[in-house]
Amino acid sequence: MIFELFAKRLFPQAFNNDLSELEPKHIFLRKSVNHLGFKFGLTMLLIIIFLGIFGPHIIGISPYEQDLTKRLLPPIWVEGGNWEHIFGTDGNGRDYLARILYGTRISLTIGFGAAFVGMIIGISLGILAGYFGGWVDQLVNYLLTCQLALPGLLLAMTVVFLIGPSITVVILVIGVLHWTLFLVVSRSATQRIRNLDYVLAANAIGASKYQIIFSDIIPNILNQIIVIFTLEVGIAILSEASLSFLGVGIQPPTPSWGLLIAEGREALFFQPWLIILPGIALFLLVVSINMLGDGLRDITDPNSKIEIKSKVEVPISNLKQNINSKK
Amino acid sequence: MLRFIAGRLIVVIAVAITLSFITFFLLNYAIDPAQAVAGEEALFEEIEQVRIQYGFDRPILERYFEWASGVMRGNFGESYYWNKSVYLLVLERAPETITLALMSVSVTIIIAIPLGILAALNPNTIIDRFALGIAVAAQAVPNFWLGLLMIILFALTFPIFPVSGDKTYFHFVLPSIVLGASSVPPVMRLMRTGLLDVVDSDYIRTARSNGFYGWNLTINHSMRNAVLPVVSVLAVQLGHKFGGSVITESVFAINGLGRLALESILGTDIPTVQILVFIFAFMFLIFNLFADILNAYLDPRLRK
Amino acid sequence: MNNFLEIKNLSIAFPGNHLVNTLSNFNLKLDKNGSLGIVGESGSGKTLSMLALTRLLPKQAIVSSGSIDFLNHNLSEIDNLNFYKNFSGKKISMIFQEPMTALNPVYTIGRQLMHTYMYHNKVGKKEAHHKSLEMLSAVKLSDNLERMKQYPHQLSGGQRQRVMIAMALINNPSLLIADEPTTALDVTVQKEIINLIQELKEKFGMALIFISHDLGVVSQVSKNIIVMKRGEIIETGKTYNVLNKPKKLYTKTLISCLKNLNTKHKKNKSKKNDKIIEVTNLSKFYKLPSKLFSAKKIINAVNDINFSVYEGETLSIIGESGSGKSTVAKMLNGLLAPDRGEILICNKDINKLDTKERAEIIQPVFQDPYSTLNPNHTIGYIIARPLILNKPFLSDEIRNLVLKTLDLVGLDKGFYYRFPNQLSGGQRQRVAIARAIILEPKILICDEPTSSLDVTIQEQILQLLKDLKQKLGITIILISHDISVVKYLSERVLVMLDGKIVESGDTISTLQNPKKEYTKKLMSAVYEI
Repeated sequence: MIFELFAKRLFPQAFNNDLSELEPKHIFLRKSVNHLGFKFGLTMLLIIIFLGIFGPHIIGISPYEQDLTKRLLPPIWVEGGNWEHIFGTDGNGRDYLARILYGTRISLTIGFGAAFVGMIIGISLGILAGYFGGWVDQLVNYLLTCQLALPGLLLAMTVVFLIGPSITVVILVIGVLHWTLFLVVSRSATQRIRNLDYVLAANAIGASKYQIIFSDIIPNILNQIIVIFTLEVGIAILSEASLSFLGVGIQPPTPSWGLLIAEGREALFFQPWLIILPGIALFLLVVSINMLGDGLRDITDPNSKIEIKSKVEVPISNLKQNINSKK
Repeated sequence: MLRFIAGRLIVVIAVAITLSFITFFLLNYAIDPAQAVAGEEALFEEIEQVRIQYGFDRPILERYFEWASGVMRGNFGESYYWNKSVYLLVLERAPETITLALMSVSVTIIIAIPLGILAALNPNTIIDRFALGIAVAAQAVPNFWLGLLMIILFALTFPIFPVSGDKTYFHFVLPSIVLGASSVPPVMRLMRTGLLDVVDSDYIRTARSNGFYGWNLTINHSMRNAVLPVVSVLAVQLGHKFGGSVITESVFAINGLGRLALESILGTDIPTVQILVFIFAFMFLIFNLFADILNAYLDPRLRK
Repeated sequence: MNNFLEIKNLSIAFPGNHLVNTLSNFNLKLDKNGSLGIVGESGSGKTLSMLALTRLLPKQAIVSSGSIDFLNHNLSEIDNLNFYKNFSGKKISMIFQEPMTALNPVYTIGRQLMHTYMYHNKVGKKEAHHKSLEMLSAVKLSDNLERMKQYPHQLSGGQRQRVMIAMALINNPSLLIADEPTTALDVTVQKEIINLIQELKEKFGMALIFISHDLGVVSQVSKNIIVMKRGEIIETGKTYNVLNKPKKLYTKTLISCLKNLNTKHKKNKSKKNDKIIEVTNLSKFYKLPSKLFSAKKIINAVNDINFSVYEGETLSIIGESGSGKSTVAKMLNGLLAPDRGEILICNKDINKLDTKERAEIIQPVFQDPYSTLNPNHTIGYIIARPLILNKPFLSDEIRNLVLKTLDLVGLDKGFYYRFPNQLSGGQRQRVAIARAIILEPKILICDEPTSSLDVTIQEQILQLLKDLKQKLGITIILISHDISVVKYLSERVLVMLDGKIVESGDTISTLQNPKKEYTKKLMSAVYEI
C-alpha cells in the first residue's frame, strides 16, 4: 500500500539487498512492510491523532458551547438529525462530534503520559534488579508483590478523589499504579543480557557498570520496552476512562470519553448513541495502539517467522504433494 | 513442601501488613477522620469533640496497631457512614462478589481455553486470526461500556437475561460475561503460545518420531505441559476479580463488595475502605500463593 | 540386492525463504544390516533427508521431487495415518542431538517408555513395565526399577540419551537413525554412548544411519559414508576408500583440516621465560539456592589449585563439563572473584587492579560468535571501544588503529561500518579477536574459541591465533575440550577434573603417554581418522 511506497522511497537500500547483508534498522523496515496488523494499527493511530489535534479546528465548533434549545438531538443517521450536528448533541446541547474529537486529546495525553511515568519507574527498578541481583532484586520483588496485590482501581479512585482530579494527578496516579509489566520485562531482559558474552567482554575491556548499562543493556532491551509501552498506553487510556466514568477522574465539562459515557447513562434507552459513540472511539483508539504494539512485538522478535519476500525465487518444478503434510 | 508454603506465607503476611499500613496512613492523612464522622456541616467544636471522643488525636502508629489487633480478633471496626459494623457489611455483600468472581472465571475458561487450543493447533489460519482478533478486540473494549451495551441489548432487544440487581443466578450471567471477558485475552494468548511452544519442542518431536500424532499427541503429550502456566494465571486472575468487580457491580447494580467500596469512598467512610482494601489485597495474595502451590504440584521439576 | 532402503533423487525446498538451505538430488542405498554415516558441516542438509524419511520436516518444507522405498514399500504412497501407526517408531526410529530437552518433563521415564511400547503393541501395563525394565538394562542404566519412577530432570545428559535410545529401540525397529546423538555430551560419555549404539545395532540386528559433523566419529561407526555440502552430495562410498583416497576437493579439505590438527608436532622447545601468571590455592564455591525442599548445596567449582604460566607460551586447560576450566578462565580474567587463593599476573594481584589497568594486561575471547558482539554496535565501534574507554586518543588515531587491527585479523576494511548480523560466525570471531588484541594485552584467554564453528573455519581461526602469537609474542591460555585443538596450538597442558588439576606437563608427552587414570580415559575417547 501507500506505506510501502513511502518506505521504499525513503530507504531504498533496505529493499535491494540480500537479507543477510542488511543493517538492523533496514531489517525492521522490511519486516514491517509485510505485517498487516502493524500497518493497519499505525495508520489508524495516525489518523486518530490527526483528528484529535486538528479535528476541532476543522469543524470549528466548540465542545463547551451549550445550547439548551437543542438538547439531545440525534445524529445524522437517525430520524431527526441534521447536518449542523453530525453526531447530535448531548444533554446540555453541546455538539457531540466536537466533544468526541476533543476527547481524543484527553485520552492520548493521559495515555502516553501515564505510560511514560510507569515506564520510568518500571525500567529503572527492573534494570537495577536485573543487573545487580542479590538483595536489590529481593527488595524489588517485594515491591512488585505489594504493587500487584494493591487493588489498583480502588486506590486510584481514593487518591484522585482525595487529592483532587486534575489531568496531572490522573496521569501520575495511573502511571504510579502501572509499572509492573515494565519491571517484569526489563528485569528478565536485563538478567538475560547480563550473562551474554558481549557484556562480559565490555567488562573485560574496562567499561564501568553504568557504561555497560547504558551502552550494552538498554539498547538491547529497547525493543521489548517499546512493545510494552504501546500496550500500557492502551491500558492507561482505559483506566482513565474507567475513573472518569465512575466520577473520580476527569471532571465535567472536560469531555473525557469515559465521562461522556457516564453522562449518557441516564438516557441509556432513548438516546443510546450518547453511550455508543464515545465507546467506539475508545475501542478504535485502543485497538489501533494494540495492533501497533503486537506488530512491533512480532517484527522485533528475533524468533518470529515473518517471511521477508526475497528477490531470488527458488525454482520448483513438478511440485508433488507434500509427503509430510500436517501433524 | 511445608517449608515452601511457610516461606511464601511469611511474604503474604508481610505484604498484607505493609499494604494495610500504607492505606491506613493514606486514608487518615488525606481525610480528617473526625470530620468524616461528624459530618459536613459540623462546627469546629463538634469536630474537636468527636476527635477526642473517638481517639483520633492519638498518634497514627498507635491507632494503626489498635486497628490491626482489632482485625486479628475479628473486630473490623464500625462504619459511620452505613451505621453498621464493617464485619456485618462485608458478610452481607461478600457472597455476591464471590459468586460473580467464580462465574466470571468460568466464562474465561469456557471461552479462552478452547480458542487458545484451536488457534495453536492451526497457526496462521483463519481460525488463528479469528482467535487473535477476539483477543485484540476484547482487550480494547472498555468493560463498563461493554456492560452498558449488554444492558441495552438485553433489556430492549432480547430480554433473556435480567440487567440489574442480584437476586437470582440469571442476574449474574451478563455481569460474569463482562467481567470474564477482560481476562480472556491474556489467558487465551498464554494458552496459545504455551501450546505452540510445546508443539515445537524437542520432546514432542521425540513423541512424533515414536509414531504419535493427532489428538492423541495433543492431549496425552502436549496439554499437560502447556496448561501449567495457564492454571496459575487463572488462579491469579481469580484473585484479581475481587478488587476488579467495582465497575461491573456498579453498572449492573449488584450489591457486592466492589459497589460497597465505591460508595464508601464517595462517602469518605474510612473504616470500610480500609477493610476492603485489606480484603482485596489479601484475596489476591492468597490466590497467588495457591497458584504457586498448584504449579509446584503439577510440575515435577519444581518438586523435590 | 536387498531393497531395504533406497532414496532416489530427493529434493527439498523452502519456497519463499531462500535463505534456508535446501536439499537437491539426494540419493542413498542401504542394506538390511548396513551402517551408513552422513557427514557435513552446518547447512549441509545432512539432517533434512532423514527428516523427510521420518516425516518430521517443518511445515514450510516442500518435497519437490524424489522417492523413498523402504522394505519394498513406496513411502510416498503411504498416507500419514498408516505411516505413524506402522512405520514411525515401529520400523524406523530416530534419536536426536539434545538429550536435555528430548524427554517430556512432566511424565516419568517409566510412563514414557511403557506408553511407547503399548502404543505399537497390544499389551497390558504389566508386560509393558517388564519390557521397559529390560530395555533400561539393555542401555546399561543402573537401578532400572528406580529409574522407572524418576523424572527426566533427575537424570544427567548421558543418562537421558540412554533413555532416548531405549525408547527408540523398544519396538525393535529395523532401521535406527542417529542425528548427532553425542555432540552435546562430554567426550568420555560420547565414547560410551557410541559403543552402546554399536553393540545394540548388532544385538538387535538393525541398520544404522549415523549423522554427524565429526568425521572422526563417523569413520569409526559406519562402513559407508556420504559427504555433504550445502544440500548436495559431494562424495559417497565405502568409508575406507573415501577417507584414504578422497576424490573431491571438499572431502580432501575436510580431511586435511582434521589431519592438520592431529599432526604429531615436533616437541617445541619453549624457552623457559619468566612466570607471567602465578596461581596459588585458588578456590571458588557455588552455593545452590535451596531448591524448594532440599538444604543448600555447596559445589566446589574450583578446588585449591596451583599452577604457573610462562611468558610467551601457549597453555591449554582441558576438561569436560563441570571440571571448572571455564571458572578458572573467568577468574584469571578478573571477571569472577575467587573465594580463596591468589592470582598474580605480572606480579600484581588481578583482583586489586583497576579495570583499565587489567584491560591492558589480559583479554578474553569467548566461545559463541553469536553472542560475543553487541548487535547494535558497528564493527568499527566494537573494535575501537577499548581504545575509547582507556586511551586519550584522537578519533583519527583510533580509526587508523582499528583498520590496522582489522587487517591483522584478516578482515577487509569494508567491515568497518557493518553490523554483526551481517557477518558469518568465523568473521565474528575474528572481530572478537581484534577487539581483544587492540589494547596489546600480554595475555589472551580463549575459552573454547572455535567450538561453535565449522571444521574448515575452525582451522582458519586457530591458524590466525598461531600467527598472532608469532607476530605479537602474546601468551595464550586456551580452554578446550577438543584434544586436536589443544595439540595444534599449545606447548603445555593442564588436565582438570571436578575442580582439581589431575595432570600437567608438555602437550606431546602428557597426551601421548598419560600417567593418570582420568587422562588415559580422556585420550582413549578421542576419535581420529
